[in-house]
Amino acid sequence: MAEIRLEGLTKRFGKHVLAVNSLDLLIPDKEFVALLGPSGCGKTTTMNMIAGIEQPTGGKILFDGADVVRQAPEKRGVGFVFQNYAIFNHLSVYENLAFGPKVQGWKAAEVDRKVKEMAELMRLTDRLDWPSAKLSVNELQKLAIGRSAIVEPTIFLLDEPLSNLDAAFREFMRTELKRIQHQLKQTMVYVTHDQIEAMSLADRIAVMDLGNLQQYGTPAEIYNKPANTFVANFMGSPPMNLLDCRLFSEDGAMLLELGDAGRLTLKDPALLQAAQAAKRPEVILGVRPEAVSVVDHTDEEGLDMVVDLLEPIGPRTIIHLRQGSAEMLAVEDKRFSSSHAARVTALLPQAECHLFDAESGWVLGRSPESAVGREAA
Amino acid sequence: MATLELVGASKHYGTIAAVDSVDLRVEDNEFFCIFGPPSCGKTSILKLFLGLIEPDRGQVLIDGEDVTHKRPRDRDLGMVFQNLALFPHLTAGKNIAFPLEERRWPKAEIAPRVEQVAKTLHIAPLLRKLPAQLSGGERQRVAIARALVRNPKAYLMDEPIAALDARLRETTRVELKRLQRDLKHTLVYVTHDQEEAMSIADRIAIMRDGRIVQVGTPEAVYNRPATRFVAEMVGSPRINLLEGNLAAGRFEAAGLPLSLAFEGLPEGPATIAIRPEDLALHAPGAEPGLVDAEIYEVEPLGGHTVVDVAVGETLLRAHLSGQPDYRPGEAVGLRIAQQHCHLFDGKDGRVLAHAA
Amino acid sequence: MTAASETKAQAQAPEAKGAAVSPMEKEGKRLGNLMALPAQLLLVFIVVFPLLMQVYVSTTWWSPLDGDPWYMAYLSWNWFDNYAYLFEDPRLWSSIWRTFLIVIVCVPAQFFIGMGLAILFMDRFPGKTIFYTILLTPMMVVPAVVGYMFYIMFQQTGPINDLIAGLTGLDAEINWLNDINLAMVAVMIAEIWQWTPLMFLILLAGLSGVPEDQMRAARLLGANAWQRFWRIALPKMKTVIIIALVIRTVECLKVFDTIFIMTKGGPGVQTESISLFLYKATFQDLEWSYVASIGLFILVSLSVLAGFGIWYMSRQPKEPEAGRG
Repeated sequence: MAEIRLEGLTKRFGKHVLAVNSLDLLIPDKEFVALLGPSGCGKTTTMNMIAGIEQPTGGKILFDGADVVRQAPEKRGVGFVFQNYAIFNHLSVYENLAFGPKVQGWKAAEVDRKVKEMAELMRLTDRLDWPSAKLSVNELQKLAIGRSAIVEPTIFLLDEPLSNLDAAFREFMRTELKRIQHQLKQTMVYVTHDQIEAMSLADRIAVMDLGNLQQYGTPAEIYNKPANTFVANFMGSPPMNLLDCRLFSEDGAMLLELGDAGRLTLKDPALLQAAQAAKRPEVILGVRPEAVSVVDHTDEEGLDMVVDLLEPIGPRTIIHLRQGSAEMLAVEDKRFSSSHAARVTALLPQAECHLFDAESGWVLGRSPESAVGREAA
Repeated sequence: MATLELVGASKHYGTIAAVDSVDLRVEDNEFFCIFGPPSCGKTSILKLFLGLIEPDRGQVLIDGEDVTHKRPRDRDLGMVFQNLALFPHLTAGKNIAFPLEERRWPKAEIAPRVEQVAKTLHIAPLLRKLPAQLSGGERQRVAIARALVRNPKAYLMDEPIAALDARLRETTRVELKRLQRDLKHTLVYVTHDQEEAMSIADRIAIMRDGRIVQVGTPEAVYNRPATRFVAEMVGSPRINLLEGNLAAGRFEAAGLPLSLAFEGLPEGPATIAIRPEDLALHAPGAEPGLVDAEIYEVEPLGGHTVVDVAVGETLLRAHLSGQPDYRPGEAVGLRIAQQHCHLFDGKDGRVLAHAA
Repeated sequence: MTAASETKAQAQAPEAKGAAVSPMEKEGKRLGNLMALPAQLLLVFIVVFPLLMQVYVSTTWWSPLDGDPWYMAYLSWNWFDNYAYLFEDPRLWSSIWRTFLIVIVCVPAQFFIGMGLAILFMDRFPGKTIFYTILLTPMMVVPAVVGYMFYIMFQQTGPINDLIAGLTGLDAEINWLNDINLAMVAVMIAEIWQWTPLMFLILLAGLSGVPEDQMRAARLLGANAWQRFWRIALPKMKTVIIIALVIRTVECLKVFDTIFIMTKGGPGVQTESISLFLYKATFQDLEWSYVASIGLFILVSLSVLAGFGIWYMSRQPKEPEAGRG
């Protein structure tokens, strides 16, 4: 049982740098939570504070309700996997695995049994008597996880553990990590800048930028209902289309003017509600590339676009569309679809469209609090 | 405007063949990618074209002319290196002007030419800044501008965007593609990223251990891989491989109930390969011919979902559109359609039969 | 590589048709040899020539009092008489043992105090920079001045005796520098005082070089401060520690200035180090050829020791057998 609760957690470096700004987050027991954001967003600082490597400037860190801010890191009992693995390179693989048990004063026979068991789980048995400096990156990564897992921490923190691996092994380790989490049944906090990793691994994702929590929710929530343009642009590959447009009403209907690309009549009730919440006519229309369908001829209302470029990426094809200053991406679940005319119509399903305030970037029609997902925390 | 050619070119370092009798022709105005795992010899091929190394055997031709023993500076090629190699003490503008000054262009012609190139690459406002003051993407464009400014016959690029972060790589590769399309120059581009190679190249050469395994359009390499290696290297998630045996005109998979008819092929071990997006999941027993399987792990990626499916001890990856709701442990019926299966020889990995 | 650097490297390169080595590679090698030549010549004049001269003089009775220039020394050729004598010279050997005593006491003292301070300085505390500066000052003081400082401090009516008197309430009038045992203690204290900072500096650099993330990793695995030091920091500092000890040992073997000012080697020869003995033999007794032979003898002995040390340090840790992998 280990639930982590952060309350108003703040970290300043010097007078001017606010690394983490009053962060509230509830990480439920045995959940896999990803802290996701670009470099400098405060995710690693947050994790270091949970581990106790760094002292918060303000706020609380509660493990199962008990504040641990004043507790030394070696007493908190968290497992930590460093981005560069921090393997003790003067020791053998065996000695690395045995380090935690030994300093915690386990009996020699128990240490030996546990080390061999962990080596088995991590598939390192035939490397046990190697100097750790001779391991490959992939093996170092497994050793780093094994070394932390061996002392059975209830909280497991991982700092970008996959970022140094080659693509194929990374794909494999993604699944492997999930399996390990199911087996160890620990609360896992995972720091990453890779949205694909976060999406595929985590039960919940906390998206951060510039020290602030942008959104907290399940991968599906984050992907389908982004709280603001930052989240919309950060998630997905390719990212969500964000189109500058103007709201206006004509003959009792609400319309969106999209520059040279044309205009759209708003019909979807949720979208209409969002439009009504707009304080100014300048809004940003957000729509996922895979929701956009590209057709050659249609009677439906869509946007007139020119096909600029096709990017085939195996199972899918990215279609780059433009019209004047408006640019847009569409993704088709087809291989090498090259059959499009030069001029096409892009159809946007309104149920999958979002409106954002052009100035603040926050989604319209939902309160910022509910958009961030604070009520979960 | 140039064709680049290697004829039977080899380069050895000691007993290791960096390039092993390679024949290669890059056509005029072509965006040509050389793709392969680390140290497969792709960079050595660029160096052969540039003249930084000389082949032990074979010839290098530019526009049909033998340049094997010509010095690099007489070959008139532009190069962008992975580490960009910008001079840190010179402004972006000076960096771009450098090749012209080196070749003693008249001063009056240098400035307008630099301006012109900078405009093409949208870096005109950055010319007075030092490399250290630029972002990764901007530095990369300055390096490209420096290669463009001389207007050489062709450009060679060695993983020029590998150091950028994922999002920037996606946008920069599109810009490169546009640039090459608009300038109509021959471009040879080395990368180890299959998605990059697929998305921007007109043609791709796939290398392994100093040899070229297959040359073709992205579509050809993806849909008709010449060997099992190519099938594995191209595509993400990776292609699914099922080991088995060919006997009496049928392929029998090892460890799972799958039997497909392949007439007229030699008997022996063989491998079936099927793309993750070609696997279809149904309710178990919904239609005849489904393989009983179980969901092992689900990776939602937003626009699509990767599902690991377990058939007995074998794990297969399926790439599904949208966000289907599957849970680990759930029973499913897996459709492995024969028209989607490539068949490779179990010993040398040659293709025996392509998917339809 | 840029277009520019291509041009430079290629400019003078002759065409090497069909050669496996490209013109660039060949050119680079030749240029490199040429560049190293002046340094090699300089080395010959600085090292080789004086050494040969010393070997030559050490096999004669030559002394500047003879009135002959040094190259005429062969007139008093004596083969190895100097070397035979030095093995029986009690004053030389007592100075050697005395110097070793100073090394054996001072270097470990400097090491332990220096290490303690280095550990202390890995943490943050108020006034750290000031203390740091103060700590490093002794190292920068000219050794002769250090000698003079301690000469004054250890006077019979000097501050050290005052301090002892103040602490114990006794009437301390210890004659430090003229006591056959205490003179050595005083000299050692001065030596330790001056050179602990260097040890501290090297060890602090070594300690800062221990990867912080590994120390953190150890900490998060539950290792306390002592375990982290003993299991992670110390093994990783092995090389630095060896270097620090070697530097200080070599330097300490040459100790001269401080002693010369404080005691002139006295009382009697009770604080005479090797250097001091050589100085006296050279400038008081003018036995130049004998000094040359001692110099060579010490050089050869230390080279053997150093060679052994280097061999010991550069031993490779045992490789795992490939077969087991």
